[in-house]
This record gives sequence, structure tokens and C-alpha cells, in this order.
Amino acid sequence: MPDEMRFVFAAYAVTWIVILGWSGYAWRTWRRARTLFVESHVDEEVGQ
Amino acid sequence: MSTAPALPGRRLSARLPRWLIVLGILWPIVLVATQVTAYLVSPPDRDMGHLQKIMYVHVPAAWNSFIAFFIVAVCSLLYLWKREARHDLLAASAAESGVVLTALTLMLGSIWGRPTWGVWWTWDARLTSTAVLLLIFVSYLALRSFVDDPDRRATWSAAVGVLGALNVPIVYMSVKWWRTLHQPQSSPSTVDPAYALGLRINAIAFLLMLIWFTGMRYRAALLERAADDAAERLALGGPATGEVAHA
Repeated sequence: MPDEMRFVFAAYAVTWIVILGWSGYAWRTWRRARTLFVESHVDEEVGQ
Repeated sequence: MSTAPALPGRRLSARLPRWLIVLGILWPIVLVATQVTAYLVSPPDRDMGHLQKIMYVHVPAAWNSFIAFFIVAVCSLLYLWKREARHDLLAASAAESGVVLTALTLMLGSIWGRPTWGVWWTWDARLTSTAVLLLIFVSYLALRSFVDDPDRRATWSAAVGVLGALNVPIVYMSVKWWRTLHQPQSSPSTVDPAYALGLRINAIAFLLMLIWFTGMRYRAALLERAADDAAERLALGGPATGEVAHA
């Protein structure tokens, strides 16, 4: 394998690590927000 | 007591919109396909050899970070004009995407720079202005986490968002305005036709990813804001709005 290919693989690996980490963050934060939203509105209905 | 900028009076569902679900399935498939295609169809560069293939992730990340910061600027101006929370929340979501893509651009540029320039980092005008852009928008996000009052947070961050986005043209033009180690801007018109296809399709794949990430963060922000508003109404013993559709 040419030496330069190590840098190419490193670049694509970094790209996918960032993308997958970012995806996980986006998904987790949406799930948390959804839970907060549903619970708060259930509380609100109970409060009425 | 300051009140939160009003959300638009429309029904807010806890479910993800269908287009966001479809896009969430689509963009990873498209991104893998475009990266494999670009890798296979592009011949080694005369000077850089296979290192040229880093262009297919570095340049789309940079372009799409510019798009993200453009969205921040437009939404910030709209917020300052109309004072609607959705513009503030969309600006913040786009700023997060821009920060991730700018950080990725710098990391990829560093990996590309080491074998071509012999250094991981140099205080070149393009690199430095990009680092300043990243710092500005990291500060933007930090500001949002420090300010509790939604009105002040939205107004201050809109001002920083507009001023920060002014740095984007400086970053873009830096390779023309100053003598830099960084090469001139890469675009389908300035690279060899053998590389233009790979650049175009990867830029589109990154754009789909940017839309999905920004959309997901925007939905999360809308739900969080609605939850905060509901908690405040409940604490004050006020009426329910009835503007919510449960999933």
C-alpha cells in the first residue's frame, strides 16, 4: 500500500467517526426532547 | 419576568416528520455510494497521487459549513426582524451543523496538509480565517448555553450569528486576497473534469446530511421549547393551549 493511502484512509475514518458521533448525538437529543415534550404535556393535561 | 418568544400557533407533533425519516435513511446510503463512486472513478493526481481523494470529503465539508452559516445569518436577521422563536431555533441548529462541519474541514485539511506541505498546521490565511470562523461559532453556542433568558439569548446570539457569518466571505476569498500556502478554491470548474463528478455528487450527499442534522436538531429544539412553555404554564396555573398532537 502506498504511504499516501494511510492519510487517505485516516481522512475517511475521521469523517465517518465524526458523522456517526454526530448522528448519535442528534438522535439522542431528539429522543430526550420528545420524552420531555410528551411528559410535560401529559402533566399539563393532568394539571387541568 | 421576561417571556419566551412565541412559537407559531400551529400543532406540534412529537413524531418526526416523514421527510426527515426518509432523509435519515437516504443520506447515509447516498454518502457511501458517492464516496465509493468518487474513489473508483478518479485517477491518481499527477502531483499528489491518491491524496487527491481527500478532496471528496474536505471540500464538501467546507462548502456545506458555509451553507450552514448562511442559514444562521438569514435566520438571525429574520429573528431580529420578526421576533419569532422558530427563526432563533433554526439558526442555532444550523450553527451546530456549521461548527461540526468546520471542525471536520480543519481536521481533514490537517491530514491532507501533512503529506503535501510537510506540516499538520501552519498560520496560513485560509487556515487561520477558518479557525477564527470556528471559534466565533463555538462562542455563539457557548453564549446560548450561558444565557437563560430566551429573549436575550435569541437577540444576542442573532447579533453574533450575523457578525460571525460575515467571516464566511473572508474565508472564501482569503486564498485570493493573501499569498497563501493553501491552493485556490476547488470547484467543479477549477478541477480536472475527471474529479468534477466526484466533487459534485459528494457535495450533494453532504448537503443531504446537513439538512437532516439541522432538521433533527431543530425538531428537538422545538419540542424542548414547547415542553418548557408547558411547564411554565402549568406552574402559573394557566390554560392548556391545545396546540399539541401526541405521538
